[in-house]
Amino acid sequence: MIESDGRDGRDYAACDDLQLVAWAKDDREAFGELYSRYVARIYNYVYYRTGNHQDAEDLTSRVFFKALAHIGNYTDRGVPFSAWLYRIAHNQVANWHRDRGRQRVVPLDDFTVNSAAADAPETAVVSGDEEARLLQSIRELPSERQQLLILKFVEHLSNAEIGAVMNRTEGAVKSLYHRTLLALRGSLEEEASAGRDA
Amino acid sequence: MSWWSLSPRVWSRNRRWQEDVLAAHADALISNGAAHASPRQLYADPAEDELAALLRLAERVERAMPPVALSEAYVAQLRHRLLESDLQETLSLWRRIRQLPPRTQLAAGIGGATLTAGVVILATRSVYDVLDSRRHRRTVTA
Repeated sequence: MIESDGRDGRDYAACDDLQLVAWAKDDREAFGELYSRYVARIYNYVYYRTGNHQDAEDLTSRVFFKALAHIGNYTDRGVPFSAWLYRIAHNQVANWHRDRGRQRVVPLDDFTVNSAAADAPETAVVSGDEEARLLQSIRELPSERQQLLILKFVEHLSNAEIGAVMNRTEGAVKSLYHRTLLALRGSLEEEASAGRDA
Repeated sequence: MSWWSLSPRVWSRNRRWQEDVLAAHADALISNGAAHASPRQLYADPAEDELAALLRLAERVERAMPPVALSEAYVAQLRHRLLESDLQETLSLWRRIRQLPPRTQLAAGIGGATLTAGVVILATRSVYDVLDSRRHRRTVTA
């Protein structure tokens, strides 16, 4: 969505996030441009944390209303606007899990993927059951590990960007990624051996 | 030079090396896909089985988490709600106060300070009254 020639001939689409944030404090169109840039990313993040589209839509709207309400307080202290938004999303998801009192499992029927990646031949290698088991195991990981996998594989962020969102150094992100894979492998092996025993 | 062409012999075979390989592999996965990222054939050494298993797992995770599409109607509707919503409803109380004209802020400040001072004086007076009545009672009893 291209927005240009807004208030005072502002060219929103050509501006970087910082300029937009400065304008967005009293210019809704500038906020609208920020929204257009990040809505899909925030939605994806929330979707993989909640496991269903309905809650993802609800939480995504809460994230942006919260951002709109507090954008006046945003100050650039080396943390990019995107990281600030992800932190709001993370907090909203944490509240959502707390309110529900349990972590929901991704229902396979609900997992309707609509992307080019889903049509790629290699996607077919992972069967539906395997994929559901894997996603279930991911969703049983501690929140920060889920967050890391989503930011890396869904959002395609670099370790430095993930570090900015999670308030960690790049080294700590690498280390967490290693431990996350080890934990995930352990959980899958445990599940597989439990399945064999049953 | 591709990241996986760096010989493991050059690196110390420790946890740090595994972390670096896994991180570089993940970056290659998200930028090029599994076909270009996989160095599995380079890790035939059984000592590197664990690393190979983790690399395979990372590829499975990457495939299992493709971006999801969101409905255009939802995006448009939320955008409309955000742009049209009443700003005053979404602003915090503190920000609303800060947005008031300076004279109004000054008047509110003076009013608030006067009210606080009044409450403090009243509270102090009632404490003194209680103390006085006690003292008076003791004097009468004596």
